[in-house]
Amino acid sequence: MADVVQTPLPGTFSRILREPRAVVGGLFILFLIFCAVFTPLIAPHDPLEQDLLLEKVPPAWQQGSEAGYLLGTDGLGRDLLSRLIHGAQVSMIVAFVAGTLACLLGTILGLLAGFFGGWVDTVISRLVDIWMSFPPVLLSILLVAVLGSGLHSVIVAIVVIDWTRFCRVVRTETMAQTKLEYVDSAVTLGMPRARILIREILPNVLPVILVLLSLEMGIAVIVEAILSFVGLSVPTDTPTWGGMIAEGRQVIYHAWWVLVFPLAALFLTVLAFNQLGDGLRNALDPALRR
Amino acid sequence: MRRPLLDIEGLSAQNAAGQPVLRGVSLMMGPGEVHGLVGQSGAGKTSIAKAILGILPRAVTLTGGSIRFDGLELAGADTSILDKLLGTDIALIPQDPLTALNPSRRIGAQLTDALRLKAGLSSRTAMAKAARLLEEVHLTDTARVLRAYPHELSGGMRQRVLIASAFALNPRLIIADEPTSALDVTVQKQILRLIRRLQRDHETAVLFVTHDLGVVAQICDDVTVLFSGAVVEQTTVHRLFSQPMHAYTRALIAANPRYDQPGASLRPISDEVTEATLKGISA
Repeated sequence: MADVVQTPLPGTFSRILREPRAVVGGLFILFLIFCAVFTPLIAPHDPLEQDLLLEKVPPAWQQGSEAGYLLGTDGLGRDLLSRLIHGAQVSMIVAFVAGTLACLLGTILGLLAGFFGGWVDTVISRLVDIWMSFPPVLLSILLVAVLGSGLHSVIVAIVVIDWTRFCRVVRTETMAQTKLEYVDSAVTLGMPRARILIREILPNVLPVILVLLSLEMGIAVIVEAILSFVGLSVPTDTPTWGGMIAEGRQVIYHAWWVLVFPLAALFLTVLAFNQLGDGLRNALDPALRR
Repeated sequence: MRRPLLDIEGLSAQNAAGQPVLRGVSLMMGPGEVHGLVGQSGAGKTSIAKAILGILPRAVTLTGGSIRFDGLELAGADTSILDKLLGTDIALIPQDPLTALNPSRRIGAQLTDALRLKAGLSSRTAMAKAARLLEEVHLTDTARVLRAYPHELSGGMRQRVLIASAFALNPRLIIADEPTSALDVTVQKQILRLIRRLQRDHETAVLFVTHDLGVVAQICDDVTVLFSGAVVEQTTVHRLFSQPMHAYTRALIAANPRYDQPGASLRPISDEVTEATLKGISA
């Protein structure tokens, strides 16, 4: 029997590296993480330093620009680039912490519902149904209003709202996997149920979870921006993209750059997360792997 | 017959809609015997196999009868009893080698599961034993197979791996659920011969589920013919072909394609036979 496929299985990692979208999206996210971690080293100015003599300075390539203010300044003379870099901190913390927690909660409930079925499934599925009938943005504003503003509240709000995304998809995928014969084979070896769920089924559901997680991080960034836009996120002395957009809106007719740069940062970040998610989907999808 | 290893009596089951899936099936197997379970799709062959293993789908429930393995009642038994028997005393050779192996785990890891879980071997000794098992099913280059993922192996190789896994702990009963129906004809023949040889070497009893009478003729000692969840005939393989008693059995034999007569057309089981049989079992 010499019909073993000759080429060794290309590892998961190298499959991801051959997906241009995953690579581009991933690199941009890495760049943002770098900005968020080394903020004080990179940011050229103090993001809170006001200088009313330098208010609404246009970006460097426009007439009337000032040296040292690459992207110009806002209505209070604060350096936009520095504020953008500081804003990345909040966005990245929310994306990773809220995304991961929502993922954990939804995945655990989804695995249980899909694997055990019966009343476990009924209870969890009805909970998801009820949860999803609330309008998400309103619910998050309501939650933050009740919990009080701040980074913690924003994260709690996102987790509480978005775990259902994971739960529904993971439940369906787990159900499909549970019907496959390899699960029966494991049962007929007398393998404990918990071990089957974690060692046999979870690895096959993991690709879907990773894709969802990446998309969810993009959603978390948007939700945080919405909450800062309406002033319900972190205190105003911490720069956020949503807050910058709110400020930029007021001066849009005199200084477009104050609005456009944070908008662009938000747009590119969400796009990067989505591209990373799509790329991962292509690289990891078990159906395409065969 | 010696003391039966597997004794199924009056086994009945129904699906969620209340329709009967099994209607009072009885069959008996001695140690080391190969028993064929034949019938067309939906006859309840696989349901019997799954009932023994305790893996019936949620929608199907047992409504009566008993399944005794070496005197021990399995129907409606606690999962802890079954978990102790499964793998060590009763094993399964599944139907579809494509889905019966976990796509995200290496062959070595899957093959050593039972050895480590049930026989308590260390992972090193389990791996060495797994390599010997693979040699026993005529897989060469065992080191590479053990490192491979399922999709890197051909269907026939995967089925050999599954057979090795079933025989791993030398069980007394193996349930083979159409182990060859997903394979092409030449590979089918090799796999059948392999199961037959291992079965003789290990003196394992095999409950062989199939819709293929040709397979039955090659491998089985006794046969149970099922139709719509009921036993229509139970006999030895020799008598099944030489003097089939039931009209349905005769129609089933006649429906088998004849490769020795190339011009002969297929003879499907006629509606009259089907209806008469149905009437017979519901009476």
